[in-house]
Amino acid sequence: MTSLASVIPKLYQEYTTKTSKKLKIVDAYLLYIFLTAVIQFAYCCLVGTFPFNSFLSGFISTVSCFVLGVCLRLQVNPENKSEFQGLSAERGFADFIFAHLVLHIVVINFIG
Amino acid sequence: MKISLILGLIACFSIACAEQETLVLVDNLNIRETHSQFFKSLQDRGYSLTFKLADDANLVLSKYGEYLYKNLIVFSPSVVEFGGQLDTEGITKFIDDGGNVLMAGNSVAGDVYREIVSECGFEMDEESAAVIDHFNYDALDEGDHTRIVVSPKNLINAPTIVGTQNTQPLLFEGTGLILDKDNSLVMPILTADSTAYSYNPKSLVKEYPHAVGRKTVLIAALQARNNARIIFSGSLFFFSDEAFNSPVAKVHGDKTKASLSGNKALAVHLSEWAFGERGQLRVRRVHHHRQGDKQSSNTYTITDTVVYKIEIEELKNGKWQPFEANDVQLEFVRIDPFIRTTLKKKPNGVYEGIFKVPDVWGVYQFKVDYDRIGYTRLYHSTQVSVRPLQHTQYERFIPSAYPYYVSAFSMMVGVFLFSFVFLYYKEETPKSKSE
Amino acid sequence: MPTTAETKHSNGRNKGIFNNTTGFSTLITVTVLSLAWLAGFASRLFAVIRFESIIHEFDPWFNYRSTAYMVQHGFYNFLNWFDERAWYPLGRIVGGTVYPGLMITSGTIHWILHTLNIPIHIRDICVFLAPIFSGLTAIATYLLTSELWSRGAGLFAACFIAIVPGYSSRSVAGSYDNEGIAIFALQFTYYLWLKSIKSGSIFWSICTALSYFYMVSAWGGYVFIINLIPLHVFVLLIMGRFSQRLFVSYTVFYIIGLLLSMQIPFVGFQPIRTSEHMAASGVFALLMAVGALKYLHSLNPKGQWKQLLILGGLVAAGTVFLAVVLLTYMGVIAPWSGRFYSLWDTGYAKIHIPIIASVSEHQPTTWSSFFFDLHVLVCTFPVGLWYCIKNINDERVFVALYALSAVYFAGVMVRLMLTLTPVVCVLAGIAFSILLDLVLKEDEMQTAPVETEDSKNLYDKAGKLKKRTPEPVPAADSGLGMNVRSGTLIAFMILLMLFSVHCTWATSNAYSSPSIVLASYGNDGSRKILDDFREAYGWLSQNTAEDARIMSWWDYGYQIAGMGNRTTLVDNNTWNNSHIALVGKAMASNESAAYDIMTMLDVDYVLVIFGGAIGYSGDDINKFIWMVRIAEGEHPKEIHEADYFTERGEYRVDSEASKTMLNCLMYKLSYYRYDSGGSPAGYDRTRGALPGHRGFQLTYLEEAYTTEHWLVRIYRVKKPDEFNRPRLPLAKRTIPTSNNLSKKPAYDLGPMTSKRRKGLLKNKPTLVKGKKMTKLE
Repeated sequence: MTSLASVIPKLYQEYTTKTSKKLKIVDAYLLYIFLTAVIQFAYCCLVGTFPFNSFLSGFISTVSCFVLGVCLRLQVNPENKSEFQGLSAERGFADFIFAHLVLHIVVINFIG
Repeated sequence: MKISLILGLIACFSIACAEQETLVLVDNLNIRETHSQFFKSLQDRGYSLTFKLADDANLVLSKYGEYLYKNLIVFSPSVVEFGGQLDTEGITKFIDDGGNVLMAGNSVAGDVYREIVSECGFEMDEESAAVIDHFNYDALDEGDHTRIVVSPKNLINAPTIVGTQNTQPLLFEGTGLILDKDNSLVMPILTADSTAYSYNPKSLVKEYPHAVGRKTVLIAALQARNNARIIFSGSLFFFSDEAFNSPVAKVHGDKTKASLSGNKALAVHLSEWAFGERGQLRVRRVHHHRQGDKQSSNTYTITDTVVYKIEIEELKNGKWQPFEANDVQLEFVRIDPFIRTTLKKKPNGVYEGIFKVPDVWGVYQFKVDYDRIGYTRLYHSTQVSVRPLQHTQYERFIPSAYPYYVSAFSMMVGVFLFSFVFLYYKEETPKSKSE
Repeated sequence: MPTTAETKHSNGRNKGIFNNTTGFSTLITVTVLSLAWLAGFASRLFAVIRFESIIHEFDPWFNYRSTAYMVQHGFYNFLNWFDERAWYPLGRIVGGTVYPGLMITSGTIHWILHTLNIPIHIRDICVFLAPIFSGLTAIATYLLTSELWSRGAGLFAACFIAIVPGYSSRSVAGSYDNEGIAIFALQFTYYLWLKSIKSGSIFWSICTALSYFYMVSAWGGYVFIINLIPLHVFVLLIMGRFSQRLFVSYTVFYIIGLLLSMQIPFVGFQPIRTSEHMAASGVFALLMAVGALKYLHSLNPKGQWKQLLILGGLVAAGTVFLAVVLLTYMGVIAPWSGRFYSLWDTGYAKIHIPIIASVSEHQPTTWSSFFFDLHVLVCTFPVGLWYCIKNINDERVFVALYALSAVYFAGVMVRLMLTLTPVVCVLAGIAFSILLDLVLKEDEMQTAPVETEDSKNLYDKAGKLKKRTPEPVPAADSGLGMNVRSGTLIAFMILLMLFSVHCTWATSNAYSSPSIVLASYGNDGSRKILDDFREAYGWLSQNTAEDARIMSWWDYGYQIAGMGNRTTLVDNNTWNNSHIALVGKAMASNESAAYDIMTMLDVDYVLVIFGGAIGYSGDDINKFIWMVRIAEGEHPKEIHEADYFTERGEYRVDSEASKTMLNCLMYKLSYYRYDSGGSPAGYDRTRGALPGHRGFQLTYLEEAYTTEHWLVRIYRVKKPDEFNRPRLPLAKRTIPTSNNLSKKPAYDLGPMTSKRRKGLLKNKPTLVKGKKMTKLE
């Protein structure tokens, strides 16, 4: 337990130093999405799941945005170049936009 | 021109007559005289009576598939076999095709009678048996106590069949009838008193009589499912002039006395009912629509409010007139009735029901089943389908879902903004690197 | 036949430019694939050539009917279609209870052709859709296999799948069913999945999800995908093959696929509500957890994290599993459906859900049918599997899992042979490719010219394989002599020839019968078409009221609706067991009890299939015991299965049959007035017995129509008002009638003779003039 407690500030430190600013923007974006998701979930727990499809589409859209954000983060991270051969950061971003396009069309269809 | 007019008139006339065409089968033409008052009352009401002997070789009910008669009166108890084309099967076929039959027998009536009667769901006691009542016989009885006096209280409670004013005691002499208990269509019009029984008056009572007490039915009626009506009286005497005219005086009991029997009034009423002058109902029009709509529709959506209107008419004095009642019910059925409601009476014989379609989809039927004693069965069903909500009919923009809408749109905006920021930084980073 | 055709074709082009560039190999690929398509298409046309362009069997009739409806009324009306003609009086919401992919596909094709001004009837599109899609399946299989192994193996696999009976059984012309397009979607989804896992690209994942969406819209078998892919991911995790590519491809696929699959009204919220889909979300959560831990690990790569990582992974897995179990227990997640259970416990359906067990497609597979459907492939695919496992990588793990699970499921249910077939083709393609590689590699080095001459037949395959697999083959098999090699080659060519002959034969003989038109062969080999089904349905459509309600066993529901255009009570969409049980009960009850049920359900006509006259074994009497079982499941008090067997537990229809059996409605309707079937008259050829109860009369029904060969019998149910008078039968009368001279004798003479007959009166008074008649008494 203690080691864990001591590790966390260290981790934070590592994070602030190691991570490039661009990735930090992505992280901020991810944090924003994460908070939205948490708020929605809490709201759903309070109010009940009546318009279930609305809840699902709202919630899943945040989850997907999160997932896509994470994927983008992975792909643009220069450390992972070896993993994603043949995938430039630009390609990754284009894919990301394409995925969002598909996602939001479906979400709009489902939410009403 | 004139000829055609005349022809038309003749045609109209003949049609009008054909409506009332009645065949009377008798043992001998003497019955015409002995029962003249009864026949006269029929003739006065517009029936054209054709008298034929029951063993006439030319007896025929239908020709070329069309019935020649609408009604049949059988006053020939002693028939063993009908003449011509007529037999039990012919008569039952006549009933099945909608013909009305009035039959009267007596204790000599043979097996043909019994068979016809059985075909209608009740039975006639054995040959030579008669209804005997040692407590309620008439003063003019010849000693067998078979000429019995029946109180009008023993009549069935159905004004449409027996009329409303039956206060005079009735005279009866003839065989008793037995009704099948399981049979819901047969009605005991007149039953004997509890002291009566049916047996051969000339012999000693050796076996238990087939009909005892109030179970001995004197006059029975059947309204078949096709609304053909059959009245069967155990006594031919009941319809005779003698019974119509004679005074009544009970020997025992309360010693009821009356200057004139009630036979005539009852006989006339019965014949009116039997030949369809009374108690005929029909549906004139049915209309149903969604509340607020004008047009009728065959499909409703669940939880729609539906207005159902039915117009019912009754035949009164030869004319169809609005029917008055307050117990007409409507059922909305899908295997089981989901809704059962009494319809509200509106002017002109219109009955209206307004109800909400249940929240269960399927194929439903509006059913009006008005089955009252004395009236023809009124049955009407309309099939409609109740469908679920269409995809566009679901509730939209539910208030409690607004947070979700906001979040979904915030995600879109978020992506949009993020893309800008991200692209912007993409330009920045290489620069800083290059520096 | 297809193989040889294709061989010859590419042979000619092959000769001149033997060792050439990749452009040439593309040409070969295209040629082979298009020939495979053509061969597959051609071999599926037997049904059309033998019979006619007609929709087959049962389910396709519904698909056709709803497609026609969609084409006529538009997509949105189809989505909202409430079919009041099915499941009377419950009705059926077609849009919400159907996988619309099939209808949309053919509707789209129809629309495209019509905008191009090609007026083609929707029926023809429906008939030929499955054969066309078989070509697409071949291409998808080619892509999948080349992703897995090599393009040569891909071509082999494509050729196999084009003609293999296991697949053509469900995709002959006229067999217009979900499976026809679903196998294509299945293969294509797997191909895209492998592609995405290889590249780690979001784009391919999205494509996978879209293809998965198409699969969901087409067939309930999508559950196979949504369990197999998570299984693959899970196994990779366990094998320690986690990679960020895997993370990207799975998470994106899962979340988008989940959202997309919920767009199909029939599927609805199932993906998050039922246990079948829980494995996928569990793996998703697990992958997220592992990803997070890995990330933390990458931030601070030190030793202490190693244990934490493993521990964290385990904890995450445990939590996910517990959460699912708990939610199931609380009822938030529906437990596995019965159909799914029966996959694990083959005896389950027989006990609990007779309606599933009653379908012949759901029976366990026999060994012979493995061989019949797959022929030589069933022997060769383990070789491919072995090679895949030997040279394992991420994709090959997938195909191994695919093969193993599909083999299991195919063993459980005949119907799932269909999911096994593609993977068998893939693996067999790999096996053959390896083999030919091995054999022909040497030829090129040593005796190329000789080889070209002595094995002309297989030349093209050899050629293309050679070029596409330039893997260095060590000299291990240099010991193989020329004779051995050519011997092997010839043996394999013969095998392949036999395979294609078998495929053609199986497709043409076993799978090309439309089953609504039967063919029988006379002693002299002449063919006779028995068209009783259409005769009966045609009669229904012409001679009954528009809204007449037909009761039949559910097998014929779709056909009555499709061909007869009449209302049915139950049909092949067996969604309401109790309604089916009610019909089963009516069939199993005696006439008067059945009449009560039939009036309750407003039945106008009853239709039964009776094969006794021509020896057709799929008739209702043979299915009857299932009706009894299903009815007993819902009405255990009234119906007892044992009552329908003889005391010795035999199911028979002759005089030794049980009383209940001889008096039930189904029996009576089948054998009423039956006097055909050879000697003695009334002999039942299907069951080889003389019916035990004959010459009976029907009270509540009357025969309305019987087809030429007695195959379909239609009865009209009498309405209550036809029992006009409640007559008192002789037995119930209390007063005995002494003599019965009234109607019978008179009637026997016939109406003509008795027409002018004099009647008879008792003590008829003789009329004497001048004397007054006394009253009779």
